[in-house]
Amino acid sequence: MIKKLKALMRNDARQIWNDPLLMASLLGPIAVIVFARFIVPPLSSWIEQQYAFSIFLYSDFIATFLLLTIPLLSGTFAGLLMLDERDENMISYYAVTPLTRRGYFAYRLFWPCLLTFGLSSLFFICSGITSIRIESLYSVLLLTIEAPCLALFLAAYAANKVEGLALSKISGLLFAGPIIAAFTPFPWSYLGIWIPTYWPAKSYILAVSGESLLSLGAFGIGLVLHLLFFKSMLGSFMKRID
Amino acid sequence: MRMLMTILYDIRFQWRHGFYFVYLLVCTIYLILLHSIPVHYKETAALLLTFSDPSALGLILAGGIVLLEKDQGIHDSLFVTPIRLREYLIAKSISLSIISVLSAWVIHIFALGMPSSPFLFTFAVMLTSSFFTLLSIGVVVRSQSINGFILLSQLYALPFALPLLDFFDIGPRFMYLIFPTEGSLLLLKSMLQQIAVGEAIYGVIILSIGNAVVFFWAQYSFNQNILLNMGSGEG
Repeated sequence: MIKKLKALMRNDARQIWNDPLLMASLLGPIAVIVFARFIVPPLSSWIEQQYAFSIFLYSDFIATFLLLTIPLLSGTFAGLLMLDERDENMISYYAVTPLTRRGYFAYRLFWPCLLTFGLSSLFFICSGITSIRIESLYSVLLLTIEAPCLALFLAAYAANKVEGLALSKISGLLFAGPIIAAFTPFPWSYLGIWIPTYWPAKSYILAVSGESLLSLGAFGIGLVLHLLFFKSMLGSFMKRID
Repeated sequence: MRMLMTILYDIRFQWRHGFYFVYLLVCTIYLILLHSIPVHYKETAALLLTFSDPSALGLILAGGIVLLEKDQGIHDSLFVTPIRLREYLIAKSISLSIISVLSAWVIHIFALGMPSSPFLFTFAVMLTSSFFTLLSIGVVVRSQSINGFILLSQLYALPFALPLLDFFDIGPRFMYLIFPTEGSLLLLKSMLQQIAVGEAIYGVIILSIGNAVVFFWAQYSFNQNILLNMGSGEG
């Protein structure tokens, strides 16, 4: 199995140079980290001078908002890649290799998980707008589950790449999660609890305000919700390919 | 008649692939978002939303459609019919502009009420949408995969976002006058307030010129990269 995966990984490494978006799924989040580190501070000073409005007060929200771009980018990229390969009948080709169809899909979902885990950890360490604490790991873990959920959502519900693009429009609306977590007062925040992206943001915001126990609680609820979403997306996806 | 049938076919295709449903959902979420924004920021937020999404929806969707048609070998059979390339491009622009205009109106009516100049507002959304649709088609014929296309389309579209700097009063205005999207933003302002006649004329002219230039570029690119390769197994 390792040998088969190595062959696929070698092919992907070659593809990274040929396919600009593969590169972008790596460079995009790095650009987001650079933006948070080097652009946000002068930008917020400029806004404060021009409009007497300090966006530093909202740095937790900005951090959770920017963090979300990492699973969205890698999840969307993986989902569209699967759709592209399905449109070009590449999946039937992989299915008759020793890797099998299921092995191929497991491999396709592994990359967005790894990228999201690595790059969101890097965001916490290098962005300069986050506070690093043990609870940060809660957000990283939840974001890591979001990436394959999104890829599966696109691959399960889109019949082809055009529908995949239309659906990726809907997945952009997941940005509502951190917005509701940061700004919406109780009881309206009840609307947000059904959006998976609400929980990593809520867990982080609670941790930063010193509510460690509540942050753990938000992580617990978020984890259950994320795993339920993952299971449901995987179920829909398997039904589609079988 | 042939033109009308081509447009209707494209609308049916977009309906079947859920574009209208997706935009209904997108508009609903935007309206909820606008509802929660403080009143004095709401108008600016609505204008920026209209510019960046419904007006520019063709940038990603048109390319996706052409790539799918390419994979399915539709172009081979389509262009042996009497349909002309210019009709194909115009139909794509008009059909996607219809979704843009409907979405922009839904957002405006429910968030802010009737636009100050309904005609200019509709015209701005339509011409901006067709501009990005044609730009997308010019880009997609240079791409092999959906992922490559998305990245390339963002690179091509990036310069056309520069007039947003003028919108926020950054830099002298004359620097932005050459961009068709400067005209889009000017005309979209008519949704909030009456704009000067000179500004309206400039907006219409620069957007029309932009559309004409990008139309000929898309036509040339499609011809070179798709039609001339047809039958060789690459189209």
